[in-house]
Amino acid sequence: MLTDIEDKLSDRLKRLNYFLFLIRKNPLMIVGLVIIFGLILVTVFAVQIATYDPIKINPPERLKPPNLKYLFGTDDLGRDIFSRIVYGTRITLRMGMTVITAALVIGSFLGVLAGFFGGIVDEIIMRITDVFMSYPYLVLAMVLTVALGPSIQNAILAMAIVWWPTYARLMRSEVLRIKENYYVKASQGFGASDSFIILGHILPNSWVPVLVQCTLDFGRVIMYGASLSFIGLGPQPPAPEWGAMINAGRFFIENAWWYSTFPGLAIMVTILGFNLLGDGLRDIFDPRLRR
Amino acid sequence: MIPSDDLLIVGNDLKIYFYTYDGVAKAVDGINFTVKRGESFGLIGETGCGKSVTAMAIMGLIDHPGKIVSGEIIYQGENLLEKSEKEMQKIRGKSMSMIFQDPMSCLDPVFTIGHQMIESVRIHQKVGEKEAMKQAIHMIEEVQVPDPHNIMGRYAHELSGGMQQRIVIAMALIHHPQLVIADEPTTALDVTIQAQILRLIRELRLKFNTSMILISHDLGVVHKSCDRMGILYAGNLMEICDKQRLFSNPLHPYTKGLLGAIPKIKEDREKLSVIRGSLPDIKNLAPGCRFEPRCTNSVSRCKKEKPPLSEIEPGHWVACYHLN
Repeated sequence: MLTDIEDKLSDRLKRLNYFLFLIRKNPLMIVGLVIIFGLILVTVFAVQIATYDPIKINPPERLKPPNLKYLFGTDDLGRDIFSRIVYGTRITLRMGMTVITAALVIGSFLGVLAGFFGGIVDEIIMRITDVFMSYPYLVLAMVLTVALGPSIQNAILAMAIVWWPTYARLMRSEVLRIKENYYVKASQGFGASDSFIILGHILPNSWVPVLVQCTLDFGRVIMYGASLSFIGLGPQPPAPEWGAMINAGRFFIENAWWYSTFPGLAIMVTILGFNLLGDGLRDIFDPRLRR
Repeated sequence: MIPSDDLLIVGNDLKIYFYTYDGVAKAVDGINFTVKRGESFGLIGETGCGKSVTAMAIMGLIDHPGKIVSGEIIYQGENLLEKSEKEMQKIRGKSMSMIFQDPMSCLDPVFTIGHQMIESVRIHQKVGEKEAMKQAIHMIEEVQVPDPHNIMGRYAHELSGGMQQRIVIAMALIHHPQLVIADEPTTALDVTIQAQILRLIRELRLKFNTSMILISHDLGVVHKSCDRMGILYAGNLMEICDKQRLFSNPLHPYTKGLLGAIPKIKEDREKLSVIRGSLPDIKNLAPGCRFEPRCTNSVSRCKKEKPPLSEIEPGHWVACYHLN
């Protein structure tokens, strides 16, 4: 009995070791992980990290270049850009989280329905996704946000509406692939119901590509969110959103380069982090790409 | 005539067609069969002759674009084709079960054997984890896999093909079904393991008093483990009789051809005899006997009408005009 437990433990350890080994072989993924971990820390401890109030106006200190007092300089209303970027992390991550979660839930649900039941259900759901995917994402998101009225909630809603078809398609193709395996037939043969097969066999076998897609999409959602804010369709002033800050800064670009540059760098680093993590995960989970 | 309560399952004029883009494929075209309680019935045929489709129809697992066009499957006095999906789910796995061809792909790669065994217990029995585990371990012992506690924690890919098939058999027989359909259970295994698996199935069958429909293209496999057998050709049953008579006195030209193609140790021959031609296109069939184009002694009537399956001598059914 004791050796049993030891066996199991050493098995677990072996698997963990192998996983760590794969991560170690992938230094770029570690960079991605560090960036994302850092962003999460910044989000949680924004109050402690920020040196100034991100919203309070201070006209005498307007458009100060980066110095020890204001790390990234100040904007045209005298607000500290560093503190605004720190608080902006919260908005950005919240936007990414919500959009991806909503798109994932709606998309996977419909994708599983389409793939599993096929026939007319499949036709209807897939033709709807075709309609959504026949527009450029950003244009459709813009139109929807304008129609709903510019605000952070509506920007999130619009992006979720634009994004779910990706997941519906991905999930459908995964279901079609898994459904052909004999273990699904066998499970049916043992008397399992449809819902049991979906929850017990199809979802556990399909989460890997979905997870990779989520991580890669996270970066893209952040970019689209910043783009919407840039044209004034995201969070409204004085909210410290990165895209909106770039837009505000472009009127002063000739004599205050720091105003647009630092929010831009923040966006770049964030997206880079998620893309590196996504690529790394894909390499780990797809043995064909392993070296 | 066999008393009707002795019959476990009866197929009457079963027709299963597949509606594809380039025409209707008549995969199974009007077959009749019976399986008695405790009996082992072999269904023999070439690839694509409708063996597996028949099995799937009995289980009620025919998928789009396949459709059971007509006929009935009477199982323990009830027509399975009239049952709802819910009712079928209660039958599947509990009173009727299936063993598939490729054991590796029958086990879900992301769960342990134990997880899947417990699952298949709990689909039909409202029991706790502990009790289900006890039953699962007992069943693994029944299929003669050593060290069941250890096996429960393993994944499918960590087992050998023979062990995988034993586990699949354990899962199929865990509720002691009345009928088990084995769809080429040994095709994916090497010859030494084949014999072991067939012996195991027979032992468990006798122990649980389970009837079996064994599907195979291998006459040797069927010879070892079946009491009676049906020869299927292009969706039609050509001959049904018990094992001894099939091998000693085959009547249908197709059966004769099959037996003639088996190499014999005592014979000194350069070449094996073969059946001329190949399987007909089931999307585009002539009205006559399915085997007519390949038959060596066909007459003009064979081209026009399909010969019915008729009883030539007690318990020996043949579909051929030559014998009536």
